[in-house]
Amino acid sequence: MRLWILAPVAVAVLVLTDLSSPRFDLVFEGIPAAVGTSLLVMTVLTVVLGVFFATYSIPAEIETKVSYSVVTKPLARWEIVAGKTAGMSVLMLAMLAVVGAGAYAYVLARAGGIQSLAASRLDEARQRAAHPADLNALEAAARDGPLTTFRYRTADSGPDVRIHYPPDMPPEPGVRWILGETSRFLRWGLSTTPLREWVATGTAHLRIALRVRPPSKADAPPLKVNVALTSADLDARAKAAPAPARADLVRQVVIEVPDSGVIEVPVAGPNVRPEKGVLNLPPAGDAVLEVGAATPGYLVGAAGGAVSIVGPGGQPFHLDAAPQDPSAADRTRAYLVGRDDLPRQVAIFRFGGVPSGALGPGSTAVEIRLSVDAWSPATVEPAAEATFLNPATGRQQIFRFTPEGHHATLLYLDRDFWHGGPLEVGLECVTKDDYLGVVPASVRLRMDGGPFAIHLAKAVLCVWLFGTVLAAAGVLPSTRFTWYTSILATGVLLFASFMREFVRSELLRDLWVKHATWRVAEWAKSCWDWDGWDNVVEQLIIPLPDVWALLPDDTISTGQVASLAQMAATLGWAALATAVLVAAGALLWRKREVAA
Amino acid sequence: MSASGSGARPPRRGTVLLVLAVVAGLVAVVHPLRRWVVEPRRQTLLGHRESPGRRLAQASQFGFATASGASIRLVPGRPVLEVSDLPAQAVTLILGGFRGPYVMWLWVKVEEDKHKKVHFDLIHRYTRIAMLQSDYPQVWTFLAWNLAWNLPVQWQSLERRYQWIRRAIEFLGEGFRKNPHSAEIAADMGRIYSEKLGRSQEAEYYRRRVREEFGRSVFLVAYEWYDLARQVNERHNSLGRGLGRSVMYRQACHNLSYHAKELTQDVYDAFAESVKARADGRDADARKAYETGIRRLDEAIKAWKWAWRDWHDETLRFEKEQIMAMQLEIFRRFRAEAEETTRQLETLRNQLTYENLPDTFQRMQRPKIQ
Repeated sequence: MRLWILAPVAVAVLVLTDLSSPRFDLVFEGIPAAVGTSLLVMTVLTVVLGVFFATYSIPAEIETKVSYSVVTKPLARWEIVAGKTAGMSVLMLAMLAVVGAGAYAYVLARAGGIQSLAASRLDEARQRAAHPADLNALEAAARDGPLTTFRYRTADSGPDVRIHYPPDMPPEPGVRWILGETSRFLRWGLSTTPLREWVATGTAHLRIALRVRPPSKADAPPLKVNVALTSADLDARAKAAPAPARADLVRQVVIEVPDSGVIEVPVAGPNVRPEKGVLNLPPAGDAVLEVGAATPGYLVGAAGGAVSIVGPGGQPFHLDAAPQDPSAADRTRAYLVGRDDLPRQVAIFRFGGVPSGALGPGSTAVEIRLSVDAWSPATVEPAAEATFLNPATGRQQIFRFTPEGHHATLLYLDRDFWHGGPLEVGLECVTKDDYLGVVPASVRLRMDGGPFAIHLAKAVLCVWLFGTVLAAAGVLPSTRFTWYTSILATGVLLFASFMREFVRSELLRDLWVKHATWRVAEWAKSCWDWDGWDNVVEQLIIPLPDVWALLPDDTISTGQVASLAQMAATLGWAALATAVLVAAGALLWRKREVAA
Repeated sequence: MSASGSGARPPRRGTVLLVLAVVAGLVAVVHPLRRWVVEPRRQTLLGHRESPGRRLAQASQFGFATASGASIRLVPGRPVLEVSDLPAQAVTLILGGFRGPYVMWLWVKVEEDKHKKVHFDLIHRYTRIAMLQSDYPQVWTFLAWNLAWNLPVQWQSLERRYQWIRRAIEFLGEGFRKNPHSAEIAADMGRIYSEKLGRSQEAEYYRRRVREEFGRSVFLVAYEWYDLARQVNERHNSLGRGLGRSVMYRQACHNLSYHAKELTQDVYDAFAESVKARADGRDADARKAYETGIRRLDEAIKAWKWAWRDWHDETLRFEKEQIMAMQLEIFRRFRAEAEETTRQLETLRNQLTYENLPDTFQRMQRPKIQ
């Protein structure tokens, strides 16, 4: 049997396997599955070569005494082992190149068929499209073909939570607004005020002049606001052990806002006995005043100078400061409360200057990942709205889609709409009672990932690196043991590496760790009190390298290109593992009498 | 076996020609097979060319049941090897002893994929597993359970959820074609229709979709599969472990009751519309809705009678077999419910007139399907 026959057989197997497997959605699953199948077939090929052929060469040469003429040459043992590994590696590279070329040709042919299928299904789907996002994806597949590669670009800033005001609301400069029931606050620092001195002598009063805009519904309930006094220094507050008498201080009161919008809250000192409706000043740190709206639909705002303090003797103090901006923590993670009418919250994501050349020839896809808390009835689908704004032209494009909690939604922008440069994306939850969670990575642009051939070549390169390590692992036992034993050893290594997580988590952690290593961990803890001992001991149980991690992961099949850093890391690990295995092989062979 | 080396002979022309001939032969066989056999079948499976609902509806015209209540018994056939199975059979043969490790690898990967929520290759791998282990009913039911229960909940949109359940139905349908003696698969199919499509939280949407696609109630389809499972089990005793015989048998009866309740809901809705139209002064609309309600009432009475007959048959069967009294009591209770409801509806039918509808409607209640 000649090894080169395996290459056309592998191509035939990949074509047959892919064609004989039904795809439920050929347009979107066809190419990823074909690429996945190609990589799988290549992996199997390298495993066959690594396990059955890399283990064969040295024992066969020793048996046929060919090795006599080799080891007597002025060559170090490591050179011979490295040569065997390199030879097998080159052979794998050649075969993978052939299979890769075949796979590329097959994927190209498949892509042509899929593009025409997408075009034919587009007309049918247009009539009954329930989800614009799906239709956009189908349109893009019909227009640009399914062979797209991409890399991600995360938004440069955001989420910046704003309020999407109703159109009839006049702008009021200098007023900061919050929306009812959204966990947003109007916040003022009180460290520059004489409040702490005044409450030492008696009860002071906080007077807050709020601007209120009721919801459009006629039967809206009266507005209530939460008024709270907290400490700015959260660390100091957490570290301070609460005295028993202070444990039930009044930190927050709920007040109904009169038509005038002016509310007044009494404030007592931290050592004064708590009384219903009277706020206690925090015992330590700079005091911060927070006002939040508790009634949905209301807009509550305040401008600079809205807060004044009235002392126990009636002496006034005016705080000129405007409400502070939200804290940094609030700007990195936000929950958007769903409302079916305006005003509602909108999370703004901004992209800076995106170079036009990086967008590729096709439609630009924007990937949106959200966490969804859908409290509406099960028959109501949560709905979200994405508003794209091109600041250069002032044009807007609005998509309404069903957000998926566990999966990304892809929205495709028209090429006429945006050609690079800055871009703003606003996300809103438009279903009543539902909540969307957003983080900075919630909105990502899919940038052009370059030619598909290079993308596939990188994946094949990863398979080759895996094969090289496998060849070295196959050569290693063959320097000491017979061919059969070497096959068994390499196979066991591969299998154990594949089952590594299972072995670690299921078998060892349950059977061995709980009965044996906990003693080691306990002893270590008695020497040095550190909770990490448990994990360290667990990690040391089975230091088995994960050979399979060198293979390209599933995202490669979807078209996401591997970054240079990833490729460099894979190359580095493969080189290191190969060097170690070759060195171990040379060491083993030095102890063996070959030419005695 | 010989690796490449200095002593290796150059490839002979005969070897090259042999390889080329094999590849050409494979292409010559596989291409027509794919073009005219596999692809049409795949398209049918996918529902692109023909709705599976329509297929099932057509099948049921000849085999499973009729809405009038006459249940025609379908005799389960022998396992049939179709031409489209040949690639799968060929792959199974080619793999030989490697089938086991390969299937094990696939199982590990699909479970990983499920947890990682990577789905583009999932169906592909499910199909492979089912192809290589098609004789195990548990393989089909386990994977179909994932498709119908565990995957749809990862999506928010009802359409996408429904599409996953549709996939489960198609998948399990293929499993039943390969294992026509398995009552377990048939019962699982009934369970998907009844519990997932008929009575889950989103059932209102699913029931509407099934009615649009299949042209009839989801509970009737569920009944047909459970009824089939009963017959297959009587013949082959293949229910498998985990589902009690009497528990499975009464699911068929339950689904007839659900169907009857669904029709009774329609009656209530039609009468409600009639009463409202009359209150609004639209007498023609009110009379039309009343007549619709009366027609539905007749259908509901028939459905309740059908349900009663099925409960009665099963009660007699298990009374003869002397199963546990507690289990038997369940059969008797639901038989009594069907009997009582039939009697009430017949009384209503006899007494109801267009004139006394508003007064009568005050005492009516919309039944709940639980």
